[in-house]
Amino acid sequence: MDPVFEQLYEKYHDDLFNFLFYMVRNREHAEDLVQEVYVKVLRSYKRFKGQCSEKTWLLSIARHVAIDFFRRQKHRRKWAGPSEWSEESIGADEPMPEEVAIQKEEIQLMYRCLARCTVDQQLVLVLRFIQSLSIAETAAALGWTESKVKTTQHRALKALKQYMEEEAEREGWQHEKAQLE
Amino acid sequence: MKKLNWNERCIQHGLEQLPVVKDRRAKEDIYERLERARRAARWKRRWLPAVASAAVLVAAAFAAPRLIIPEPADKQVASSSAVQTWRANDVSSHPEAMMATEVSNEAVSKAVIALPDRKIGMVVPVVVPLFGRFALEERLTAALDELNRSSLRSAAKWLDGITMAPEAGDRGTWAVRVPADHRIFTADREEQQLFFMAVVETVRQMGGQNIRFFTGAEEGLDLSASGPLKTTKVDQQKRIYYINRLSSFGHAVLISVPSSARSFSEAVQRMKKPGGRGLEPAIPPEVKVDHVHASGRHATVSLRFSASLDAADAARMAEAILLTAKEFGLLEVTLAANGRSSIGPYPLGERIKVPAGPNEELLTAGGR
Repeated sequence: MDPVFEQLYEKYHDDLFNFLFYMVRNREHAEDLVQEVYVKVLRSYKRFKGQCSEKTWLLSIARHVAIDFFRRQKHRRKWAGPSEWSEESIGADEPMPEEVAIQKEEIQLMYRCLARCTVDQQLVLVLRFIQSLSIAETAAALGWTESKVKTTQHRALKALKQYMEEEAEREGWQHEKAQLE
Repeated sequence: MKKLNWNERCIQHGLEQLPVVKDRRAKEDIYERLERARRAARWKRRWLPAVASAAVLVAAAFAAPRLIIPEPADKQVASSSAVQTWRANDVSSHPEAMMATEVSNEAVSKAVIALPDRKIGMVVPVVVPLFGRFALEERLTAALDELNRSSLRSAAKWLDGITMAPEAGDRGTWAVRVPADHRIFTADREEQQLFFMAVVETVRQMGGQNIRFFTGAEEGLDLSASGPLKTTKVDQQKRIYYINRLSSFGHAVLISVPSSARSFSEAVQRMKKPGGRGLEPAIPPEVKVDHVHASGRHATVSLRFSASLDAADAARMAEAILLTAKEFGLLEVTLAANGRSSIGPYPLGERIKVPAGPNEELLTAGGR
């Protein structure tokens, strides 16, 4: 086994997979994409100069792979008119993973609403709060300025809050100021 | 009681509570798949320039057409030698789908053209045998000529005047040239969508990965259904074949549908389910899939018949299985079934080469 792969796998595989899963919300797609990330990483590992942390570098590659995936999906949907479709577009929405399905309802609601955020907003929310990256690390992974990360984060949290409230209202939840805990 | 209002802090805290979703595969499995993908990438890097050079030589030879006397189709086996040699060297290094240009010794004698079928709102790929040797650049034009002489001519009219050929130096990118006065520019939205899908599926079937569009001498294609478009990527998702019996071509046809199946075995199981939108499963309920085993570039599919099947349906089922195998990069399939010696024209217990494309019978069935 390639020692570089072994080392990267041990240190970052869980983070990498988790990041891609939350971006594409489908286990099989995440498996395919994580593979794609490794191919790219192993091809360019010797050129990695260490300007940022290894994890940030990996996540920046994963981000590109995820965005390429969205472009492919978008292109397919664009032509999924009356004449072309894929099995995915015929089927219902992606099912909630069991890891989320066993959580309390607020968490499930949040998972569902996260999908309504824009790709940039999702990237920031996943990196900042699910991957626990700092503002600086997130900026490095996304190739953005720190102020852009902050602005996007602010808008993302606001959007997510709004989507959750809309959804909760639709489902007949009660008006109540409360904490998630 | 469930609440409805959250503050920003609550949202942040909630995000932090989202569970970690882990990859369930073993490290060894992931590495094995990774190695396969890397081998495929290396193969492409190593062989594509050689293939491109060979194609340039072939194109140069065909530039002097009078010097070349067309050979009968049954003698056209020379071009398969490169494929055979490569197979002998490394059977597992090319897991990508085999396209019409790559399959066996049919490489120089067949082309696949996808035809729009407005009645069913789908495109129907049709493999067209060509009599004589043609460079890749000329093959689709020759195939369109053949179609224009067949009962499929009215569907083929949509592609009249269009040229599709790989670009020199980048065989994965195909240039599609549409005459500026082509009828597609005045067609309705659905016709334009079907036209576009037909072009993309044709290029995909011929092994293309990207398309550059040209209208007349200008780069780009501007259809009202799609807006201006200079290039597009061909979706490389593997397809599963289903049956549609309502085609305007007067016969049941095989239609390919993108699938998320991750192996040929999974794809065969999915072929037992309807594809939606009037697509029947290619493997009917009377047939049970006992066993599917793929190894290298060969697969064995064991079927069990609980009732007899119409001969044409049985043949169509076998063809769909073989074509789906091709999508998954397989070259040969051995079919097995209880109490039978053949399924349609396909003998059981023998290695059958995957066909170059589907629906060849449409050309002969309609009376040419």
